[in-house]
Amino acid sequence: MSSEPSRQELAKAVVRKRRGISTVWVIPIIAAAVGGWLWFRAVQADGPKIEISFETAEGLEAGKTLLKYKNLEVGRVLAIRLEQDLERVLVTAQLIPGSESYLRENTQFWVVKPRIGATGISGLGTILSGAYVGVDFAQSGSYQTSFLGLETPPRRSADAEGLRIKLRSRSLGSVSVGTVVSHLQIKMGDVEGYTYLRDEEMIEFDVYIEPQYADLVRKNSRFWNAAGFNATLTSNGFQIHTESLAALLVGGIAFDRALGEAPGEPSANGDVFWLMPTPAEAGDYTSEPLRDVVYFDEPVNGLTVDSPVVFLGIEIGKVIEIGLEFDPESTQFLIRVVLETYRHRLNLGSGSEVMGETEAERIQFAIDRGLRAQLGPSSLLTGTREVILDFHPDSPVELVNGDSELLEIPTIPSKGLGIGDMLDQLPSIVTSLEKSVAGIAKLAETPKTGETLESLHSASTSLSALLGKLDSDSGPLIGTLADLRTVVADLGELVQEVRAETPSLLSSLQATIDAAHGMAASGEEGVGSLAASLPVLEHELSVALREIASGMRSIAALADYLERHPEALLMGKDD
Amino acid sequence: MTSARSQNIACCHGCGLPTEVPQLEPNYVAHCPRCNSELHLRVRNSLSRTWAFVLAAYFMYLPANLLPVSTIIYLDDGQPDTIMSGVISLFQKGDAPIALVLFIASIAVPAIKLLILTWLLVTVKRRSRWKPRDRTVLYRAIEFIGRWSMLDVFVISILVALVQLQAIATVYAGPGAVAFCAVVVLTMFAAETFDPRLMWDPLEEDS
Repeated sequence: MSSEPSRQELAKAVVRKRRGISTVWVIPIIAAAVGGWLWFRAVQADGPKIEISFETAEGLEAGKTLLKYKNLEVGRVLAIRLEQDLERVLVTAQLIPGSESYLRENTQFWVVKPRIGATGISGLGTILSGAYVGVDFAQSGSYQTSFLGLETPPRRSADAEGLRIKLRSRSLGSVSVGTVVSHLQIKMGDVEGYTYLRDEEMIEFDVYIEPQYADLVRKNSRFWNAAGFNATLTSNGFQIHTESLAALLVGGIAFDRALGEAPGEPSANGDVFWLMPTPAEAGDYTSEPLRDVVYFDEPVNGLTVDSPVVFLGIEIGKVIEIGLEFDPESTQFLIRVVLETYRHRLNLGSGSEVMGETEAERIQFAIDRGLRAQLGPSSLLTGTREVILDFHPDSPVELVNGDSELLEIPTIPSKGLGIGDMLDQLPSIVTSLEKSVAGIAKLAETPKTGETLESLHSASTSLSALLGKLDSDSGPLIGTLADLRTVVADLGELVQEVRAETPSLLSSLQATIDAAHGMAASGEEGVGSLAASLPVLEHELSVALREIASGMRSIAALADYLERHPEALLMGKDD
Repeated sequence: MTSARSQNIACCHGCGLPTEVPQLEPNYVAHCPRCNSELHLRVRNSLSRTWAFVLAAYFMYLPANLLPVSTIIYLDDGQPDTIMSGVISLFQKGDAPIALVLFIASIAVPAIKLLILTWLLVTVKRRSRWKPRDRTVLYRAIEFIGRWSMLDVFVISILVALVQLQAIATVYAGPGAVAFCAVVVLTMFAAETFDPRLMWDPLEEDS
């Protein structure tokens, strides 16, 4: 150690006992603990993974679309892929931890998107946020992780309390699952679903009425489709009626009992009611309409589906089907019209028992007493027609028997013409009018017309010559009268001479003169009246001449026509 | 080959006084006579402390890479991203260089650092005499690059603080970020507690 002389100069370290033990190994322990905790939390945060099969992935996005139960986020869509058969899409979703116990057979999944229908308008929030998968957890059933997604929001669970009735209708209208059923415009329930009844050919709606309103539905309640609005134009003016704004948009069903009718017995589960298209119909028609068929062998223009069926002036039904049918016996086409009538409107009461037990018997009873169907105008203005049922006991019963299912009512030829029918004839009127005008024109063109006119002219000329002559003839008459005066004057002179000779002669002469005077006065009178009657005569003459001229024109026309159509003398005028 | 340790001489960390340290019995510690700092010929318990940090870092490495580090919600659309999924999505969007940087800084570097540290620890334990100089260079390198892995953590912390635009864009930190930060910090500690002089001690004994 001689090579390190400086060693002695180094300070000596102080040696003490170590305090405590090394704590460095706490760090990996903490790290392991923290890492393990983070890991555990991450793994725990991964709830169960499930698979849902949907028809379409519309609105769904992997990693974004949420699963919500009662609008609470319960999971997220991880991936969407096609199923192997390309029929459906398979959505893989990650649920929140703890949801395992709710993944049961009855758990339901459906896509929530903006939907107009279910209780009005729903899912509006999803317009901005995008669609999400609605979840309805269930606690019953066996555990499973793959589900069949519903295409529409699920119905109310089948065991929910309340009244369940059925409505039947011949058309779906705007009713859909969720359509509100209301009474006095208060929501009382909704449509849970509908099925098509194959045999009856109609639609049956399953309607749920909330328990607190269940007693409002009575056996005699009437249901009608309150969708949209009704506009009616009557003598009272234009009226628009709508149930509610929501119903206007999405449709609805309303019910009530008929005005003035006592409430019936409370309805029970499973009762069947008729859903009528309008409140008016609902008010009138509570029972199932019956169908009959009639066959017309004449054109039915103006008759359409929904045309009224009228009995003694009261509408009791409507036309629901019009079609052609070939009758092989008579080898001609018949028009088959199916009528739907609401028999209870006839208010037969106990009368129906008198008429017969079955509907067929009752119809036969009525036919025996003359029940016939015929077409009649329902509106003179529009030319629409209706089917009129009435009693014509004397008319023959002509049945086609073309329908095995429906009862047939015999028909008789149609009644009256409406303006429409008159309008139908308008073309032929116009045609004949045209022909007449053409005939007149033809007449004017013929040479004989000219001749006729000329002869007419000469006739009137000679007439005026005759009149002139008559005028000049009255001059000599007056001259004669003057002569007569001079004769009288001469006679007077003669009398003066004779007076002087014999007074007796004179007196007799005087009488003679008086007589002559009277004669002269009456002659004067006659001339005056003749002169006064001359203008009248002239007028009457000209009238007579005019008539003669027109008569001659007719004769000329007739002659002309006969000249061309001599056969008309035998056959008559053919147009 | 001579070293201060072979002469039992240690330099005080506190005041720099070279001190002769006697052979110590277990559980005894030498102190500087001048400033009373503890004196060590080598970093105390370097190997076991480094092992502890490295193991801790390994424990944190798994959650750091498997748990989401951040959730970026942009216009109501977003999902948690792990480091790797971020790299992949960047790559798919065509930002290959950035994806590469992120991959190197956040995945490769911590992993390489841990592996190198482990290797160094093993070689020291086995008193390997293989290329001590190269190993020392390697050690310096990981000690230097280690801090750059914090880049990811800083980016996330800044984004979380700044991007809080509610519906338009929001960034949340995930549990992976904490684990990742722990990995980086623990590896830095491990590099710190590792005493590179230990690599040279076997050579000294040979001489």
